[in-house]
Amino acid sequence: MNGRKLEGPAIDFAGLSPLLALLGGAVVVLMVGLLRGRAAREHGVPALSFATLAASLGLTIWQLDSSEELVAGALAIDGLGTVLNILFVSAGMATVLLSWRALAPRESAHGEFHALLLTSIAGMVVLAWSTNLVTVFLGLELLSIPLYVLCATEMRRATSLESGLKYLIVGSLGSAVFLYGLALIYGATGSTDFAGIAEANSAVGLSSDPLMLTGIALSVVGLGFKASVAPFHQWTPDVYEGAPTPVTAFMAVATKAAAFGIFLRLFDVALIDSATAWAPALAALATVTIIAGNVGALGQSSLKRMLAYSSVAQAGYMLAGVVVTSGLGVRATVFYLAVYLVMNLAAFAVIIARERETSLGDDLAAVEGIGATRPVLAWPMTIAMLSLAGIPATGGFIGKFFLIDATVDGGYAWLGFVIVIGSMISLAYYLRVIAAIWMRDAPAVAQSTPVPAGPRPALAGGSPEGDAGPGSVALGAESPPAQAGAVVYGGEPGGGKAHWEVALVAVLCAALTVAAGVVPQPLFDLVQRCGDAFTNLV
Amino acid sequence: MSLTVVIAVAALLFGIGLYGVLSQTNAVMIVMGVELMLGAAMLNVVGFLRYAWPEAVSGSFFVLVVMTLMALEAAVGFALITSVFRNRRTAEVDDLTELQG
Repeated sequence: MNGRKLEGPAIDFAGLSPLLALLGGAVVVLMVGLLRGRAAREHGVPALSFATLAASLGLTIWQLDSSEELVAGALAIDGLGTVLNILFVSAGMATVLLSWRALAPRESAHGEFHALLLTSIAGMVVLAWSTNLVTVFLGLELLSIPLYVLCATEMRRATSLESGLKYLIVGSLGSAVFLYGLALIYGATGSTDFAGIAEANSAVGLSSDPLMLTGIALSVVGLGFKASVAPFHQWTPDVYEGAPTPVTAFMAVATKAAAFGIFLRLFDVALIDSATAWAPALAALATVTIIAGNVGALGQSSLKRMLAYSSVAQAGYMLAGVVVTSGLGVRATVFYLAVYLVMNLAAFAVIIARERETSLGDDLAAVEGIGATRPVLAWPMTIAMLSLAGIPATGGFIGKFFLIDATVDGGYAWLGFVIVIGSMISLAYYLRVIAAIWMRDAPAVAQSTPVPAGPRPALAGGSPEGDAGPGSVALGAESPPAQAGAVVYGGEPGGGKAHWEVALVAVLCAALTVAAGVVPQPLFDLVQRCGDAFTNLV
Repeated sequence: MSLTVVIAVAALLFGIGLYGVLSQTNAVMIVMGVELMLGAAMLNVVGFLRYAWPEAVSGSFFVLVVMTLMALEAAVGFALITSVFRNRRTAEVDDLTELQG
């Protein structure tokens, strides 16, 4: 070793460019956040953040066909990486729009909020590209640590801080268990490289090696915490409910995509030869997850909690795509991730819009009767719920169909059956939201359902009809029932008003959800690219 | 000293850390438990690097990266605990019960 000149690894900067754009953007955004001008901070920072994400998206599309190692076998860009990249960056763009005039960045300083968001997305990109245990752990922490802080950005609201601390404790516990698992896998195979692990695994046949099996089990537990797979999902409802809603939306879609990206890479590439050991265990976990998520969501009155449990159930569906260890399973999982992204973003955008328009926060009552008063929000929410439930002509149906197809094809037909049962249970709570939207009257102020007391109201964006007229004051129990028409939805910033960008995200995502259900071919073509990362799969 | 001893010590550390996370009610103690668990994992990697795979140097990078991340995680963790303490005057996780249902 001594005397030999160390040669640095060849670095493919063109391939790395989407990641470098994000990191560079994070630095610039942090600096611009220090400017004194109010407009620069409140509008310049989000605009720059959005531009960064758009640049990264453009660079990803430029690199769409590349499939190569980037840095000394630590990162590789391939079909799975680029497709997941598009998902992360799109989720980030939607989050920037949703948080543009939200409370969280104002409370925590705009520069910091957006820099953390961009860093977290960079962590996801590292995770999706990683082909090495070291970069896997690096990416996982780079995505998680900013998220812990983002959850706590509404710093004067106790629930936001509580959700941040809970996420930190559970997340770091998950990371520690995951790391212990990775250390054991390294010990069993003598390699941190995915290719090296797979090679050692197939050469020696480590399927019954206790070190390897313990390592795999602990990695499943660790990733289970991140992807909120039951029985490691208990943190999900609390954290989703407490975090600022734009952050919740981001967490729900992007973190899930990142966690499943690494699930696919680690299990379907590095540990593929031990599939007989982990596939039945993951199938059992998927079943438990589907049941726990769907049953947990039944009794929830908070929309964010309901969507949190629903995201647990959806994680179970997607886990089925990992279990089957086939190219079809990989494509089905990624397809579902894409659909899941748009339908959840549509739902969260509507929740954010109603949080700002009413004082009901994320309670189910906030969407009651919006079918008549706010069709521009009612339709996206309806489409999102139908799609999450898997009704035909929506992306969710095609996604579930694709997943069930993969389970039957992979010899796990019973798991497909579990998915169907889970979807049937899920109709109960999704349809409850649709019924609230179309079949109830808008809650008049006088007879309003109990406003969630304490933590939320002051920060939810003011009173619902505060600007409508002197008579309809939110707190007055004696005030005349505010008619729907009395509610003014202006474009003025702040002050309990609807914001066009939130409605735009809702409508756009709902349109994409329907598009994925009616003409799924473009998305199929995109997902088809993921196959090249898995040369060892059928 | 052999690999078995190292793995046993690491497993013991991991167990102590896990017990700490699950049994302690003070957020500071919980973060310390997590640090112990991460330390156990690093000890494992070092043990494997020394006794089983001396030529697989990527293990040493692994330890260095993990060490950095561990420090970051602790920093962010204590910052969060501090802001919760300022807001609520407590660092006991049993008192954080606003979110449930």
